[in-house]
Amino acid sequence: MKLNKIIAGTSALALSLSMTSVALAADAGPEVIDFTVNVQDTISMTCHEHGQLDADKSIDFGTVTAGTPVFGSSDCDVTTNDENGYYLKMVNDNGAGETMTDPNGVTSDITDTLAAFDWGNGDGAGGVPTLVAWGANTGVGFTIASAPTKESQFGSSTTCVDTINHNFGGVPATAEPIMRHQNYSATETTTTTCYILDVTATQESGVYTGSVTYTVTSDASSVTDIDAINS
Amino acid sequence: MSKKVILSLAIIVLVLPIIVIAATDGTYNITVDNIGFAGGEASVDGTYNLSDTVGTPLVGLGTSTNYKTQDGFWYMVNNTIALVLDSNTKDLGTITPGSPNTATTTATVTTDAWGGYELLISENHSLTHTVDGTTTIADYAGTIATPTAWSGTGLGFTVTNGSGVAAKWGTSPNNNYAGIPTTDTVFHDKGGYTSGGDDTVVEYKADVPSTQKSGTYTNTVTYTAISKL
Repeated sequence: MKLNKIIAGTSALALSLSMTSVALAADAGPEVIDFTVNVQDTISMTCHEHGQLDADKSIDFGTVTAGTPVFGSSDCDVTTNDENGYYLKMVNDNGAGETMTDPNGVTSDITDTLAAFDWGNGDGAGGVPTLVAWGANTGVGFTIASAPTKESQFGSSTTCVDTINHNFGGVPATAEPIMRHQNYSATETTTTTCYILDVTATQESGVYTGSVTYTVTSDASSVTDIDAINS
Repeated sequence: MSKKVILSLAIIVLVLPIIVIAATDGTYNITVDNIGFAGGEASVDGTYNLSDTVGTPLVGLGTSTNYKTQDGFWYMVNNTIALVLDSNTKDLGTITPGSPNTATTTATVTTDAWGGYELLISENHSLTHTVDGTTTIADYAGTIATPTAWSGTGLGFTVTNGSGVAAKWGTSPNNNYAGIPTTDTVFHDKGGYTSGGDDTVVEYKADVPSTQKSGTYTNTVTYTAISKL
């Protein structure tokens, strides 16, 4: 067999007739994209009488006899995806020192003897004020029975009808945080607030009413929701 | 064995070149190796450049039912391909659960490959919360093999524009979506030669459930283009 070395270019025609091909796939990249997405925090809240339906927003303390306190309680159910949780505020809709008033404006309002609860700077970041046992106080006081994060100052009891193991504060006259939960919760969380009411022996008989409003605020971007409880 | 048979085998061995493609042992890499019956020297005459090859005496294409031989000179086609993305960052913005956000990427491929190219996509991991490092936004449930109309949550993508977009991706506004896999997977197959850059537009869509932890999530998506021959 005779082998002839063919020099390319000597005959374009010869090359075009005789060449076959081998080819490899080429690749390009990788090219990368760094993705970023931010998930908005959302929050919703429903407050209702403890253990009752969402629509049950009234608490009836019943009839109070001086020296024998009566109790009520409410739940605030909060759903939020906030990565840092939320804080819950309460305010006395009747203003400072008088949670229960005569709706007709005839009789003297019931005066709260406990100092209004004041957590400081409005977002629960400060220290929790000292609370006290109910003792012989009159008017309305509140405490927290259970919450996703319950401050120890409220005492150890988890039931509302308990004046021994709870510590109470006066219902704040301006919206004040009473609970701060600083963690993400995948499911609904509930704060149960207890109310206590007693009157002096001289308190004029009659019907008194009041209301408190709750506001929940997400930690990350201050998304809020609001609800009220009447009594 | 007769001399005629031996001679025939010898001719076969001499005439048929052996091709070894992409041989590698970790140290050496032979991209294309033509083990023929003789060798040659690089030849340049200003017009053609023939590198180390030699022709077989039989020229042409031989075929049978099961085999095909290509006889003659061997040369290697060095096709080229380039991939450019319109951006190497993508901010999907702030998602309110239940209201998906979208964004797009335009991938431009330039290649001289006569067979076109394939586009591949992968992600290093699902979108992950930058603070806790563990919470993720799930990938959309549809797959590249079977993308589905948007329903539910997660991060998904579709192909909204390009050459030869597969019907499975649907058409706007009824596109079908797939989650981004963690291994390179072909999602777009463009056949045939195109002169100049060829654009493929990918749309991303992301939504989260109402319980999705708020905050910032990140990941990295990788594109690769491979020429087709």
